[in-house]
Amino acid sequence: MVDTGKSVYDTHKCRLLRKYDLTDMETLFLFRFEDPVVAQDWRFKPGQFVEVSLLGLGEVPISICSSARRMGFFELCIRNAGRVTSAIHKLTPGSLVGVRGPYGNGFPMDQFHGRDLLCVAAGLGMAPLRSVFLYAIDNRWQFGNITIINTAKYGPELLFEKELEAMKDIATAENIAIVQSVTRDPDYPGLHGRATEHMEKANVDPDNCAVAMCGPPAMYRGMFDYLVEKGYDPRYIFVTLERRMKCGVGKCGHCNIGTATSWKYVCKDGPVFDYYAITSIPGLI
Amino acid sequence: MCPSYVMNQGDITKLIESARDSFDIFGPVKKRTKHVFDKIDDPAQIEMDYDSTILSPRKFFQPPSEVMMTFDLEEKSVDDTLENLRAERPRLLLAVHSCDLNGILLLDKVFGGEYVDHYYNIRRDKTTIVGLNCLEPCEYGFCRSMNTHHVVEGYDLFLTPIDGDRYFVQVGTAKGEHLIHMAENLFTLAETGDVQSFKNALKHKQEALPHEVDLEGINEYLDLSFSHPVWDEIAEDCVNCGACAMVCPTCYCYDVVDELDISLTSADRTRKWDACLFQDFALVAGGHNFRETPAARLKYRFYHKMRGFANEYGIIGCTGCGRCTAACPSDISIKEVLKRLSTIWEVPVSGVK
Repeated sequence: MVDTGKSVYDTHKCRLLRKYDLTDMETLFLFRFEDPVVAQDWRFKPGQFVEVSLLGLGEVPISICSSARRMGFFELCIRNAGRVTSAIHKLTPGSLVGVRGPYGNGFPMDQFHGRDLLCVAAGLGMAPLRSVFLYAIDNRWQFGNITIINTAKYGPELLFEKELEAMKDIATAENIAIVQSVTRDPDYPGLHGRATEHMEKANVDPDNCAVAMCGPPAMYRGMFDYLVEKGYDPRYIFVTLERRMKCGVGKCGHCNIGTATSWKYVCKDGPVFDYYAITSIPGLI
Repeated sequence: MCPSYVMNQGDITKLIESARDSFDIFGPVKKRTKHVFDKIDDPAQIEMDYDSTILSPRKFFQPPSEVMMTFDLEEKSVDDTLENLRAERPRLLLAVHSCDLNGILLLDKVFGGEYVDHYYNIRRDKTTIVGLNCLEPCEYGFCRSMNTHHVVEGYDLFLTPIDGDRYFVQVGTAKGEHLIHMAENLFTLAETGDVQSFKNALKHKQEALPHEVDLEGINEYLDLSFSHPVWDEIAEDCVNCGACAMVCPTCYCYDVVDELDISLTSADRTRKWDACLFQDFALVAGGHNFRETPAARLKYRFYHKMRGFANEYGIIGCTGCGRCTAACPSDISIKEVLKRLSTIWEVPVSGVK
């Protein structure tokens, strides 16, 4: 019997505190929960996502990209891509949105403890991975060496470029290697090429390294081949996937995927999947 | 064990009369050449001897379109509409066949679990279901092949026609017992002879319902044919209309849309039935479509029924009701597809999708 209780589709009110343009298309939004009890209790894991709701316009699933340590607040990096996201981009600080979640499994950060960490992002993939490496930096003593590879097609599309660039001051002392590279922009003053082409700059030990990746399917295929060839342990290779999600709780069916043998909801069973799940389900990437 | 009862088949109208003060009553009624589950205002409308219905009883628990939330844009307030649902009159749903009861049991799993869907479950709690045993095969159904021709739960009362003019009545829940108390004079306790008639009816059913598809080895043959070009052939006729998903008792996918009122002061969030056959079902921002081709979408639906449900909930998602076959404008029969796949044992040379 469910004659009491809140609906899983109900949202918490969140106030937009700050907007910061990262690129032409992507803006970083800082939100705070209005209800102090929710603000105190709300926790998320790196790699989880929320459904952001604008009354009368709709809901969109967005990865959380801030540190899980800051209670009551969270940041979302949102690309101006559709009806709802363009409306979110028009919000001014002080506006209210509805938020429910967090949903999804997130990266298994506990399993990563004691290992080197390699984060590989392409394009918008830096958004969920920022939460991962901020976790690693916040819990620095739990990790060995850390490498962050951030790639994009064009220089102006590199997400969090300045933030990562600023971190380079302390990076050497902290055993953190930061690589930012573009693939299609001859005018970019920095590095050029895909993630695989810069792997020699990584300071991690393949035998004892956890890998977190987010990017388009083609990047995963290239990186999988590279990593397996170099002897990275496939049990510690994780990627996060994008799908159309309406409910976030494994009911609406849109992100459901599978083959003859294996079935997953990206929202509920993912969005983070390990190497074996990805390679055993054709069509997942 | 709850006692069983017997009642006269003709007394179903009296049962409706007795229950109408407490329930909104729904059951199979004739609509032109077919039957539908509809509200019964006049007890004489009910047709207990029906073959199948156009839509499954899923529509009572997950309506084709339902407002989940209403927004007051000036007050910035949200109403999740659950109070309205809780205030609705209880419903009595009559003459639900075994295949559909099994379908409801599957939907219970989908809308329950870790995240309980209140909209579904409140409706479910407020509904009393009277099941009805099918003793004769229907035109498109193949329930016996899918092992859904009998039920042990999912009903509040369950009727089995016996002796030509009576029902053997099994009580499944307290809700069922309550219904019996509403019209006590219609029911008498079943005696040994009635139990014998009940067993005779089940024996007759066992002989009458055909066993057409063998599920033995289904996992192997589904696995082997996943990448087989046969799917392109099967999908050749599919027009991706989604009719199969709309009539299916276990298809649950939905889309959520916000609709702004013309006054711009209020809005609704509505969920509507969706179908994985539709082109934009797996489309993501940026334009990438994870199931671009019609063949990929048809195959997805089929594998989700036959394997996805089993993987997630432990049972196959097809109840063998045959509605998809009846509804398909291209005469694609899920039964025939299964039969065809079960005969493919060669590994395709290429064309892996």
